[in-house]
Amino acid sequence: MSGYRPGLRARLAAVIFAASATVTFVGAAALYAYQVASLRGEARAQAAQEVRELEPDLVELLATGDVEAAVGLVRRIESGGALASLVVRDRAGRALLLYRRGEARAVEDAAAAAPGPQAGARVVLPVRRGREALGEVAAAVPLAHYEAHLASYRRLAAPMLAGLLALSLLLAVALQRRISAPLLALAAELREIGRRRDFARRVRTGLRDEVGDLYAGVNRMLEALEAAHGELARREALHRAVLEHVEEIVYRVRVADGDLFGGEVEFVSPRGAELLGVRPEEFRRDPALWLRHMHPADHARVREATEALARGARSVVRVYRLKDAAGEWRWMEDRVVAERDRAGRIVALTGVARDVTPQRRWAGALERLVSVARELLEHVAEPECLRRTVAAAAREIVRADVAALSLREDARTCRYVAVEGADVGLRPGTCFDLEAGGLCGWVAAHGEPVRVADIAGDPRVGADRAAALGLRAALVVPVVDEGRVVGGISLFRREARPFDASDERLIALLAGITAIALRMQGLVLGLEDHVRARTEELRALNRELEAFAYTVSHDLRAPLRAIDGFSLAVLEDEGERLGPEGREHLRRVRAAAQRMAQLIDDLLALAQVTRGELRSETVDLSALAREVVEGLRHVHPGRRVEVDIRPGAVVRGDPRLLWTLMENLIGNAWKFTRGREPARIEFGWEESGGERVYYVRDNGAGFDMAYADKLFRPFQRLHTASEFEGTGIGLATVRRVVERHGGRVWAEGAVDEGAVIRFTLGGGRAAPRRESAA
Amino acid sequence: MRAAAAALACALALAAGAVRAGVLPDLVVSAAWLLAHRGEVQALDARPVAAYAAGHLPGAASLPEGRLRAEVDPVRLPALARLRALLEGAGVRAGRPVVVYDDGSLKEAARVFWVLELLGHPAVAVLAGGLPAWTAAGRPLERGTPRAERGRFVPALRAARIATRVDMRLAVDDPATLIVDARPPAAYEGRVSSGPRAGHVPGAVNVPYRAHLDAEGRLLDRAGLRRLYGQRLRGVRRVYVYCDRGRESAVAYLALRLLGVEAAVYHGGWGDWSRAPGLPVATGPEPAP
Repeated sequence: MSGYRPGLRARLAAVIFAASATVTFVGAAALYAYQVASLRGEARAQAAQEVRELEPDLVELLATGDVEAAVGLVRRIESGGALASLVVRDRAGRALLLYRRGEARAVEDAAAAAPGPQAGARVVLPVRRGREALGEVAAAVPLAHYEAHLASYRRLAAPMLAGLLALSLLLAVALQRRISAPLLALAAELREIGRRRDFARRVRTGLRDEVGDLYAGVNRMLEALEAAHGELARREALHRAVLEHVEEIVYRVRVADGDLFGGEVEFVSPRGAELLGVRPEEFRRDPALWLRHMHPADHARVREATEALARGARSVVRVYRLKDAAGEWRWMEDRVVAERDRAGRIVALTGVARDVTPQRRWAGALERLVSVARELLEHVAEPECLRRTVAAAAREIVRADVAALSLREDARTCRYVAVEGADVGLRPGTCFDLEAGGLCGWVAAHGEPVRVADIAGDPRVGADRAAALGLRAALVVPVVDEGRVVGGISLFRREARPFDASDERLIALLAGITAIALRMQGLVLGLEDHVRARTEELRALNRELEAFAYTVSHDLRAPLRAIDGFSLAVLEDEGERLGPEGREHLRRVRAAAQRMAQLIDDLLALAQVTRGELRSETVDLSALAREVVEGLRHVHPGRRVEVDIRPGAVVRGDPRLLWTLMENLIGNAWKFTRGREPARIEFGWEESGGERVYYVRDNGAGFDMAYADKLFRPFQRLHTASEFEGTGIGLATVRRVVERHGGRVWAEGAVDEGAVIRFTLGGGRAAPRRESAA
Repeated sequence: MRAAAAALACALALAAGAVRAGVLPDLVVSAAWLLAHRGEVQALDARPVAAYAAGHLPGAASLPEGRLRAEVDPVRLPALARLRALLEGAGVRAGRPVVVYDDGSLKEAARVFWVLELLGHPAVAVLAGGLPAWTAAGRPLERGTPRAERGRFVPALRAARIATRVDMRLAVDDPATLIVDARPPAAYEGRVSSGPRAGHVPGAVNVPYRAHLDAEGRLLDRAGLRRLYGQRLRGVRRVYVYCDRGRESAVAYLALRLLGVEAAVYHGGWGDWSRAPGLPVATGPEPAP
């Protein structure tokens, strides 16, 4: 106790002294700062005054820039006053003149030459003539004689400060006693209370100041402590009660010598004994009781998880099955925390085990439902498969003996369309009357599920019928589509183990999925019928078109041949009489006729490509390209064209159409490189995005990318016929061929920089075509 | 020990000062010196631009003397802002020594020299003999149009280097101030005049520009200059020089500076004095001392 006294007293004295000393110093410093500031202010005022006296010279200097004005200014400054320096700036802020007392020396930077704040007091003042701003002047006066003022102030302040500090020290020593005495007494009292743990005791003082408040505060704290003590005891009781009643099994096992499985069981909350069907004290007697109730398949996993604790984990979660009093396997999720001593050895395990059987069942069932939904989607067009899938899934999800799906035929009748499970006499195809009662009738009438523990005792089912089927527990859930009961899922068990609410919810979900699947089935089956009908119509139309094309090819070509032939005849026979102009007109008639014939041929070719059955054979595009080029060289022996064909472009497709494709692409490249020297044509491919992209590149006339989308439309020509001949069908044909093979085609190029046409062939597989050519 | 250290520090300080200001050995430097120290100084060509373009000292900037004149009165200096712009345009930096040269007449170089000294440039010199002295030794010239990196120069006026009309009038009656007329004797005596009246400032002595040069047209050496001014500088604290257009007086100014005399140029020259009514004018030859 005596050890406290000097400490508190010394500290109090120090604090009082420090406070008064600080106040003294701060006061002195503030006074000093005030002196400095006011002296600087005075100096600035002086500088400003001196600048004002120079005003006429400054105005003249800035107004005229005259050197003699500058001379006048400098002489006036030097003739008197205290200005140390001066910088005159014009309106634009440019330094016109620098003045420094005793040193007439030009500088490179006026700002750098101006005196710093230590050297003097500075003022910056504008110079005006009337209201017109001419510039500004920065002036400084030296602080030297103000420094003398400050020095004398400092000399005076030093001894005064020392005296004040001595006085503070004496006061501090004297004053601290008045404060420290009652506090030290209180400290002694509190130590006594702490030693005895006697929270009922109270402290007393006659003081009515803050120390008195402190005593009162201590007393209130003691009251609170007393109350808290009682509260703690009550809480402990509550805690125990909670442990007794929680659903989770809370336990604590003492661990000796690192044996994590054989320790003494200190505590197991009552729910543990209840679940296993043993008496609570049996746990303490038999540490292996828990392991014996565990599913043998889970032993290894639990052991492995537990050993993670030995390796340093703070807590682990163990999942295992326990056989409950009824002999059912219950899934437990057991979160166990290791308690360690200072050396890190495990001394106890505390755990909370939770029965997660329902959750696990839900998770499994939901997973099954998802797979059922997927299966239903896959087989949506196969009614039988769909029905069987629903019934089988329902039986599996709730572990029923028998599951049946019934669909409504009309308002009164319903028919079992799928039955899964034990043969109890329910047959698919059996019809029953909904109005004749029974569970299905009730469900159809109410649109709600029904659960029955024993159908033998249910008035909706006759006892004799139930007995005949040998079924006890039942669950029937309606299949509802747009508020209408369209069927039901019925589940039965032979024993009287009832279906529970979660069974009902799961089957309701399945019923929902079934309703959607049934609706989709209806749509899909309807759609297929529709497609079949449309296909038939198209086929008929196609046949008509073909007949039309034939007519066009023959009937149109015949008159054209006549026009051409007779023109030629006139030209040869009567050419002389026609004269040069007439011959030229006739030549044009013939050219037009020939061109029209070509157009018709091309159109027919395009039609041919569009129709017709697609064969699928192995085709070497590289070989086709070489053949096309050879043909072209034969026709145009004068052209010099460098051709680069990458060998090995082997695809599957229709040889006749692919020939057309290559003939058009290479023919185009050949045509549009006319006039290039040398002309280049390249055929090859590159891999892009997992597919092979073929290309034909040339260095010919190219095209404007702005028209890239027009290229592949029939009769769209980007060049005039006089530049490059052609009908504008070629690339349209190319597109048809590529599209019929399930591929894409596009073009890149620029005017006069060549073009590159790229295409894919749908992975080499020919796209199937429903219609077949007649 | 302490004394030795102080001496050493003193010597070091002197040496440092010598390095800073002492790049220029004198107010007049020789072509040989300039060749050796070309990189340390800024050469300024005071001749007209055309002469500069035809050939100038390598690295020299052009600052024609004729530009350093006010537009309204070609005798006087232009406004301060214009002066600063001209100097900076010629690459003049307050922190870099300048050597001015002309065609050897010294008239142009001396006037630029005076302007730079007046505006507070700390290190200016004139090239002895001008460009001919440079080329005489076969040293190369550079051709081309004027070009210069922008300089940095904030003027600090040396008021003692310039005299106004008032200064001149006061000097007439002040025995401590000598007035020097640098015009030819004919102008001094009043036989010819560039101004409204003919003659000279009463009390002025006549030291014509030509007299400052030797037979080959070169500036006299210090001894020659001392002989030239002779007894006239005795008891004189400062000298005001004048002429017609400030070029000849600038040569006299340079000479007096070489002699270590406090000199100033009368800004307005004879024209300014003779125009002002009521100022006395004297004629006739300089009275014998």
